[in-house]
Amino acid sequence: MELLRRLWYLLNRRRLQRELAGEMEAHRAQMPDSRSFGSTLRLREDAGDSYGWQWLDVLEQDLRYAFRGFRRSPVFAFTSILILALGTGTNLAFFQVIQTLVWKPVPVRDPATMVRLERKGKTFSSSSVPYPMIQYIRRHNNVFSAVIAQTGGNMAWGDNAADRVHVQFVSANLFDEAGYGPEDGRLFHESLDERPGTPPVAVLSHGFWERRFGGATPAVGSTVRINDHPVTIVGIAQPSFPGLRPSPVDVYLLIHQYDHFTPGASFDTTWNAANAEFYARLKPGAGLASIEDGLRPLIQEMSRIYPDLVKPDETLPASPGTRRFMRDRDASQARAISALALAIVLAVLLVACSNLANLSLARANQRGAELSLRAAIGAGRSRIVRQLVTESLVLASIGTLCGFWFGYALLRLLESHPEVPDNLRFPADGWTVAASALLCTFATAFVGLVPALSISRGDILKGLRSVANTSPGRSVSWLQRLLLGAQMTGGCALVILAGIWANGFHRVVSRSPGFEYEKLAALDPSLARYGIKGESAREFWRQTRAALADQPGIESTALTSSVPLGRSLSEGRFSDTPNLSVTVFHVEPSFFETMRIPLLRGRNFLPDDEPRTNVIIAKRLAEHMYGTVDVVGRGFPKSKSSSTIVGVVLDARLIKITATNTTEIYEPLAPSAHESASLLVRTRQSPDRILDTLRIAARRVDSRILADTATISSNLDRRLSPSRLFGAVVSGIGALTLSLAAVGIFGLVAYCVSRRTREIGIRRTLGARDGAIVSSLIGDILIPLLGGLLLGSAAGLALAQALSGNPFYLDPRDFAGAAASITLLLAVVAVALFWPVRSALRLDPWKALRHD
Amino acid sequence: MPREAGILPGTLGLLILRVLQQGPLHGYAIAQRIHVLSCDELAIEEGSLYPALQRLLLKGWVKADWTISDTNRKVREYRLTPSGRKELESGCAEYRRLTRAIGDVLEGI
Repeated sequence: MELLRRLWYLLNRRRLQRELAGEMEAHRAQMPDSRSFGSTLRLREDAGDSYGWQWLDVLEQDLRYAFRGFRRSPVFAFTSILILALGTGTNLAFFQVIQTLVWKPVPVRDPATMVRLERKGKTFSSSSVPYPMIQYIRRHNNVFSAVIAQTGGNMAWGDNAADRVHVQFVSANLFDEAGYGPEDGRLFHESLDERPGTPPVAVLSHGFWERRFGGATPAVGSTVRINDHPVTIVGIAQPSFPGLRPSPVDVYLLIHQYDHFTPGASFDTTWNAANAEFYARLKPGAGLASIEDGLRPLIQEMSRIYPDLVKPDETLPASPGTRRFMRDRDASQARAISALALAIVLAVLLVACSNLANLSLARANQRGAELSLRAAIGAGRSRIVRQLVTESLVLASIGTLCGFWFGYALLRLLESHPEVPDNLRFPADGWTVAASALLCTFATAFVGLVPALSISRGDILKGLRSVANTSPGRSVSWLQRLLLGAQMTGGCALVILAGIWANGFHRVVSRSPGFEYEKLAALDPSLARYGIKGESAREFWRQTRAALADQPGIESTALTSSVPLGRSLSEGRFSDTPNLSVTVFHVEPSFFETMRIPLLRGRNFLPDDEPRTNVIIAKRLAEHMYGTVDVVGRGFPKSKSSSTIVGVVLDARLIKITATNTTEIYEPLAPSAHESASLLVRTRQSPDRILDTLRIAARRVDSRILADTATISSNLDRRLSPSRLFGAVVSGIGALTLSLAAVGIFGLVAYCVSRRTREIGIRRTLGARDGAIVSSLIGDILIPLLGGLLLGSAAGLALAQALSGNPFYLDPRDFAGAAASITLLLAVVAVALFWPVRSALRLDPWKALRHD
Repeated sequence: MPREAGILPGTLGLLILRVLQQGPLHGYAIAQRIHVLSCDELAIEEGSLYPALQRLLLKGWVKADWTISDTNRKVREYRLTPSGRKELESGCAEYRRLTRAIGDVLEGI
């Protein structure tokens, strides 16, 4: 009841206060000596206080006062909000990304008991596992309650070979195990879809459904053609369905129906290909440790049946969904990277906050007189601090709100990046809100409390004197200089780090891949998928090349086992060169001419070179393995030679464009390998125009074939896209830091100038020269500026040194990048100094003297 | 005029409730009545009267209504509510117990 009355009072406060005033007036009028009645206002406030809402009035006063103050200095308010919004927004976006990618478990039902298994032997490790091996384990194990296999690829949609969609072949239990339902229709279910003879069915991803069908329901139940094979769409996945791993998926198909779409592939009997991802659900009560023991007998059994393909000492290490299916080492690496990234953006926020503290300190100093006045007429210290904290709370709240919006916009921008698949989303959650509240509190404390305390400690009389008189002497307090120095140090270190990092990405992106990629295209018909093998594969290529021979746009062609910069290949290592990962390309002699990879030593392949006896190796491998490039005629590999080196070619990054520790081996393309080969084409003009020609030529030879085609420069773009994205993010952080530094320095010096206008006027009238005025203005801040610059440079280079190894590979000797960063920073500082100083020099002494 | 002379802490509310027992009164009249009833011994200042009245309102022991006074003035009259009456009774009993106890101690020696 009492609480209700309190609330009722709160709601009718204005009217009740008015009534009280009327009542008091009546009281006063009845008194014989009406003067003895005290101040009605004061009495009213005291009386109203009984209801306990006094603080609300104070808050309202403070808020109104704060907003009035912001209206009076809009530049200050705007700058502060901008700085805070940028600082907190970046932090929130990073926080969310890192949470989603590293810290939070995979968003599936009970991620702790869901594991991914990889394959590891003495001499190899592979993240994928042969599908028949997964099936074998599924049938015979006793540790898993469910086994899931999936493999991705791209296939032709409809009968247009150029229209490729991302397909994901999955086990029928994927959706049930992940714990997601359908948006429309039904998803796959083990009981429905694993019965023998079930017709081929497909589930569309939500994004694809919207793109292709405009989100229209009739998609369900209709029949479409994938790779020219009919399939019925039975349902649409939920938009939130994340899959087990972020990857672009348009259509989900059943993995046991793989061969329906690629009749010749014999997917479920191919033991010698690592072709599927292996996930499993632990039986209730089973721990991670039980997996190895549970699987060991199965591996031994398999190695007995397939002694060539499975070794008895192999293992299948498992990583749980709570670790995002990352192996221990990868997980700790990811944590290190994310911690560093977060530390860097937090440092940006710190720089921003010291910047803001400085600005509001400057503003509070300016308001010293006003605050002293308030103190003189009875405002207590706590009341003044409360007022100042309220002001910064308002700023911080608005800033954080804007920051929240900015962070949200950043995340949406990131989600729309082509490199980020549809099923990778960064939804803001409770943690983000909590983090932003924390940042807001932090910013308030930092930005409000420091100046508030430093001001309210001030001497009232001294403050009052400055009402009439700008005090001479130091215009910038030690605290301000300290903050400026800290800000410079942090900013400089960050800018240098960002500079070196961005420069590294830039070098990677702009580095030549070692071959001329601009006029190259590739035709990948995947003949094996259609069961075209052996002699018929060779015949296919003979006919296709004959059809292409009279094309004037084609300069040369070469068959190769893999498309340059296309799908990732498995990498090997030699015991002689443990630090290099090696990819093997099986190529025709015309490959090097078509790619324009120059021969350094020896000779090209000859048509009758034996695949296993002759190799051409890249320069880097020759230097690492033999210490020289004059290795023609020597056995390869060095310590256990099985073939002869016939030539050495220059290095070319054929698959991993950004890697620095890879090298290549070339072997002659065996006649039996034609079924899995692709045709590389060098064109005379733009290669985009030849793609249709290539597809049509392949289809004319065999009408079943819907071949994949690509230009190598588009492959390059795709391979570089992550580096470009990271480079852009890092440069963005650098630019943010730079602009924060600029705003901070500009604000401080401009404030000094405005505060010392009178003094400058006097100096002018007394005949001070430009130099004297400039030095009096920036003399105070020169030491923290330069000191911060030196300290920051040292810190930046030291950090780069610390991050030079795995997994960041910053180049601490990239002095060009560092120097460019410092020059840029100096230029920004100079510009930030220039404007306020110029306005000081242009002051009219007479106006300045009248200035108050 | 002695300031708040002689009013024991916490008894102002009780005094107000007591003078309202006879019938509704407005603020000035409450002060006057207490002054008179105490034989000019107790003077209630406006600075204590109105906060005390607000507290009583908040507790729900009195209600306030606007009326026209005998002198044809618009005034706000306070009247006792049933819960106020109860409070007055228990408050008086409490007060008596307390004063008797204090008296026993003071006069027992």
